[in-house]
Amino acid sequence: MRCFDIGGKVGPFLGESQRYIIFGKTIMPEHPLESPVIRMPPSKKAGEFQLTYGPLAGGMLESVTLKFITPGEIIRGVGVEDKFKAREIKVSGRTIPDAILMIERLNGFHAASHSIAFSMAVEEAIGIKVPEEILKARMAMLELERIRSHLHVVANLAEADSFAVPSKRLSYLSEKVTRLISRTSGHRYFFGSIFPGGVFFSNRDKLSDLSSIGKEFNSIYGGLLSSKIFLSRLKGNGILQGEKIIGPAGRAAGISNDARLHSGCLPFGKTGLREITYADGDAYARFRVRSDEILESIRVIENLDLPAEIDGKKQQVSFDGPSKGAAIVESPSGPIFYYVEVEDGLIHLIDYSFPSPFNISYFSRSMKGKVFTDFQFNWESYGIWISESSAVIS
Amino acid sequence: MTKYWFLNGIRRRILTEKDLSAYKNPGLLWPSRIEGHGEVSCPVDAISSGGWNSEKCIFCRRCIPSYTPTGDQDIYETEKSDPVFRKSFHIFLVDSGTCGACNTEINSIFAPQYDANRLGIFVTNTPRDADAIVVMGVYTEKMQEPLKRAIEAVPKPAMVIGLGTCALSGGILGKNPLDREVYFTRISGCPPSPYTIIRALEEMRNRRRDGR
Ligand code: SF4
Ligand code: SF4
Repeated sequence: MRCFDIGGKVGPFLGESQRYIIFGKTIMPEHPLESPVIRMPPSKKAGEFQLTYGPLAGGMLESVTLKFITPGEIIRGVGVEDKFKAREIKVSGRTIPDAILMIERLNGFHAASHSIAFSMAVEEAIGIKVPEEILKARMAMLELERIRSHLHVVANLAEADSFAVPSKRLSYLSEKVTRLISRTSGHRYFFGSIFPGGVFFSNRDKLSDLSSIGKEFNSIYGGLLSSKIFLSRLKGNGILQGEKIIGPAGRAAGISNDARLHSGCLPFGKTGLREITYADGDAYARFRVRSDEILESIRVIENLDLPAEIDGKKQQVSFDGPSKGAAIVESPSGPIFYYVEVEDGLIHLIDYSFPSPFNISYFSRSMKGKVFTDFQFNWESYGIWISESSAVIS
Repeated sequence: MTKYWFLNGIRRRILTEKDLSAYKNPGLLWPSRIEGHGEVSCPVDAISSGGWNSEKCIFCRRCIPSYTPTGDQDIYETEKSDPVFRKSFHIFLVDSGTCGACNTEINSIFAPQYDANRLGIFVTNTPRDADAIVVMGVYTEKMQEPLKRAIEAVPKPAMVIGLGTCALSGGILGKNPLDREVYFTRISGCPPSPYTIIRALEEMRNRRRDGR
C-alpha cells in the first residue's frame, strides 16, 4: 500500500478500525478493542444521583446526552450517549462519485479531511496517480479547515468563560476563513470540491487574507494568555495522560502523533511543518496546541507554492489498481483513516477510524473528580463532533 | 494587545456589514439558485421536467455546465410574514441528524459580519421561550420523540422552520424528519448560507431582508 505496510508497529498509534490497528506507517490486522466511547456512566453509589443533560441541551451544538454521576458537586463519572442523532450512511454498493457526496457529509465541519482521506484510499484502489499540484491544493485545503476548526474551538473556550470580546473577534476570524474557503473551493464547507482524482481549487486571490488573519489571531491569543481568569479555567482542568492518545489531545500530553508527519500519505514533511506539543495534558495545553497550530498552518499554506487554478477535471483512471486502498489524514480533531475495497466501480467494502469516539472517551476520563463548572471548558477543548462519532457507515 | 478587552473591541470599530444582500460576495455560488437546461444525472433528482427543485438540491456541481449557479441567495419559501416578531424573534434549534454544517452555519449568523442579534434574532436554550423551532438534519429514530416534545413545548402558534436539504427532503443521506407541509418556512441549501438564513428569517418577520 502507498501509505502503509501491513503488520508491525511502526510509528505512533493513530486509531483503530473494525479490521486494523493503525500506526504511522503500518496497519496491523488485529481484532480491535471495543468502541472507545463511554456511553454508560458508572453505577450510582449510596448518596449519589444521576444528572442527565440533553439530548436537546442549550449550549451544546449537536444533539447529545450527558449523564453525570455525582454526590453533589464533584463529578465521579460521566457517560456520553452520542447515538441519538445516529445517521445510517450506506456507502457500500454506491458508485464512487455518489460515495464521496456521502463521505463529505459525515462531518461537514471537517469535510475536507474526510473527503481527502477517502479519495486517497479510492485512488490507490483504482490506480489513479494524482499530480503534485493536486496534492498541494489538498494540503492547503486541509490547513484552511484546521485553521477554521481551531478558531472555532478557541472561540468556544472564550465563550464558555463569557469572554465576549475575544469570542466575537474569533468568530469574526472564523467567518473570514470560511469566506476564504468559499473563494478557494467554491463552497463554504468544501462540499463538491474534493473527489477521487482531483479537486476544484482556485488561488486567484493568493489566499491573501491569511497573513492579516494570522496577525489578528496572534494579538487575540496574546490577550487570552494574559487573562488570569481565562487561564484559571483551563489550567489543571481535564488532565489526560497516557501513551495511546491521538490528535491534539495527545500532542497536548507530550505525544508526537501528528499524522501529517508520521504518515507518508501527503508530502507535509517537505513543508518544514513543526509539530506542536505541550506536556501538561490539560485543557490549557489543548488550547495552546490548537492556537499554535493555527499560526503553523498559516505558515505552511504561505510556503506551499500553490497552483493558481485547478478546474476539477478528472484524472486518468487505469483500473489496474489493487482494488483495495487505505489512507490517513490528520483532521483538526485527530487522524481520519479509510480503508476501501472497490469492485466494478462500486464501493464494495469500507472500514474507517475517526477521532471523535476517542475524544469522547478522553473527555469522560478527564472529567472524573472535576466540578460542573469545569465541564464546558473540558468538553470544548477536545473538539468533539457527534455527527462523526454517531454515524453508522456500512 | 492590552488587557482591556472592551477598549480592544471599540478600537476595531464596527465590523458588521451594513448590507446583507449576498450578491456582493462574489465567491458565494454554492449554494445559490441554479439555472440552465438539459438532461443531467442528478444524484437526488433535483432536476426534472418541472425544473430545478432547491429543496432537493445538495449543490454537488454535477450538473455543470448544463446548469450554473447564479449567486442568488433567495432560495427559501415562507408561508406568510408575521409582523408580531418584528422587534424580537427567539428560535430554538433542533438537530435531528445533521452533519454539523447546518448547526455551524446558523450559528454563523451571530458572527460580527452579520450580527443577527442587532436584528432582534436570538437563540433560546428552551423551546418554552421560543417563537419558532428550527429543524435541521435527516430523520433519525431516537430524535423523533425529543423533536415532537420540543414542538409541543413552543407557545402556540408554533412556527416550524426547516433548515437545509436534509430537513426539507432528506438530501442524499436519508429522509426528512417532518413532512414538508409542517414547515412554516423552508430554507434551502446544503448548508444554507448565512445570507439565505437571515433573509428568510427577516421575511418571516415582515422586515427588510438586507439587514438595513
Ligand atoms: S447541483 Fe447536484 S444536486 Fe443540485 S441539481 Fe445539480 S446535480 Fe442535482
Ligand atoms: S443539509 Fe447539508 S449541511 Fe445541512 S445537515 Fe444536511 S448534509 Fe449537512
